Amino acid sequence: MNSSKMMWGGLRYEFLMQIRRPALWLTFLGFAFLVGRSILSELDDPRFLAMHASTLQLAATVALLTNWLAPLGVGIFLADRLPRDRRTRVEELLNTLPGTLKLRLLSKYLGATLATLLPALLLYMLVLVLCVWRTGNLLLFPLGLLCYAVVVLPGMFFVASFSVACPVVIWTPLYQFLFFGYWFWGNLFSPHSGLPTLNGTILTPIGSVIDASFFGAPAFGGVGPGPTPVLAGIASLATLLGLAVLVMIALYRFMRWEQARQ
Amino acid sequence: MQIDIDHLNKVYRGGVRALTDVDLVVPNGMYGLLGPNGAGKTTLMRILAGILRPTSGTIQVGEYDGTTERGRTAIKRILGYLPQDLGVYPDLTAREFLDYMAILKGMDERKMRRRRVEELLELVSLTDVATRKLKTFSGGMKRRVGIAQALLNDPQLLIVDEPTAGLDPEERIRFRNLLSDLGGDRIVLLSTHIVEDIAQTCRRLAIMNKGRIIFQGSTADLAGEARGKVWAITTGGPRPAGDITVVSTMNMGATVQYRVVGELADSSLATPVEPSLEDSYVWLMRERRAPLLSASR
Repeated sequence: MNSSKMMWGGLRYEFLMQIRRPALWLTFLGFAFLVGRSILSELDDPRFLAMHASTLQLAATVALLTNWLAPLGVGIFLADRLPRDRRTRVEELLNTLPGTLKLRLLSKYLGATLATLLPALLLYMLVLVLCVWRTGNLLLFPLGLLCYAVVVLPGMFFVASFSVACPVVIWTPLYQFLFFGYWFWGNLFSPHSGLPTLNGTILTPIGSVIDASFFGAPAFGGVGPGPTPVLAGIASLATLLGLAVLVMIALYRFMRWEQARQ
Repeated sequence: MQIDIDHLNKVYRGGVRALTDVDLVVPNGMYGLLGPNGAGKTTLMRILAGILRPTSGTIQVGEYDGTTERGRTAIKRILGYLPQDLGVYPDLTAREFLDYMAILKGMDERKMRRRRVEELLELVSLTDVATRKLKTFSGGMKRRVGIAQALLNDPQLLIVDEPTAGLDPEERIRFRNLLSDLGGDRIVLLSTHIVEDIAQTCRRLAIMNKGRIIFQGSTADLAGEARGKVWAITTGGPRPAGDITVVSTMNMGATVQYRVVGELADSSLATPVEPSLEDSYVWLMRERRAPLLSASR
């Protein structure tokens, strides 16, 4: 029994099941419309372009602004993946199979997350193409992809892990509602508003700390902490990815404990 | 290979006692597990399949100890399981679902796996609809997908829990024919509350009631339990009196033919008949409510 082949096979089918959801594509199409319009109007503003000293800085800001909504979609669409096994009654069958729980969870997490990220990535690439068209700067595309990988993906995997794990212990619609509120509170509240918020800290999943520290992206519209040392960016990246791993380990332990109690 | 179960008990959280001191030996071939709803059959199936842990007792499946983690994992490698409430992923096609299950069963060689999936689709007569999504399948078709997934790894132990419940007569017959071909060198444990399922497929069976085994033996032994206790009565008058259970009623126009099990108040109008398996089951359930009985192993 080859574990990596089993994991790859499982990942493929979890990817397929998620990518086939019409609501996923419709939602990200809606996001594309909202975000695309907003970015294009910013690019028409010379003051916006003047805020950025280099193409890399501009790419970093575009990555951040394009993806402030996408993680919402990621979190909400991943929340039903594990409860679905229970709801469709497949879980009992899965528990009789020799493939380990660890492998199944990992393939579900990675497969469903990658599938949910695909429309988000396509949306982002569309925006990049529009930005290249508007600015005439071809470098924006490859640098934009680099910034996506560094700034956006850690937060997406962080959000994905909580969205896969938490609905195992709380009602899925409740989680989705709380997540919606958390997203706005943790990323878009200004730290200067007087209310406590995760925005501007290393726990900000939108990636604004990483953006500012690695690429010097300026604060914009209340998003972003402004000039930030590189160490803060490294700490944020490590914290987001590390927490994602810890949450999945906790999920595995919890499900094992649940099984042993039966 | 055989299954040996010794003094098995299962008490759920909240104190619900599902299994009480179950002793059972299941040899190779088709073996029936009969009993009313709530008898503990599904609990026993789930413990054998490794989904539930027993509270106490031992389980040996061939060389594997079913009470240890390692033993349960080893049993899962030789196990095929068709649960009572089969769940499927509605957005996958039949072919995709079987392929996915095959991957999770460790069949990682693609060509061999796909060949096996096609063989099983053919066996359960679903080749023509293999590309349709499972959400479009009827209950009977889903059950056939279920038996196909259970057979993917050519299991040495096949557990089938209430396979014909909810199926129409045609599907039920089709399923029984499928099951009856599956015995041979493997253990096929068929759990059901439908006597006819056992009568047509199994030579040996056990009967459960309220968490206990109340009979173990051959179907011939079971049929003999009610000899002398089964009567046919045709009457135009009232229902027969006595300490009896009416097994079947047939309306013949002016008269009604009853088939009863038990002690009649007046047997002068009754004809003794050879007991069927169902008659014996009814008799046993009446008579074995308190004391336990198990035929010699």
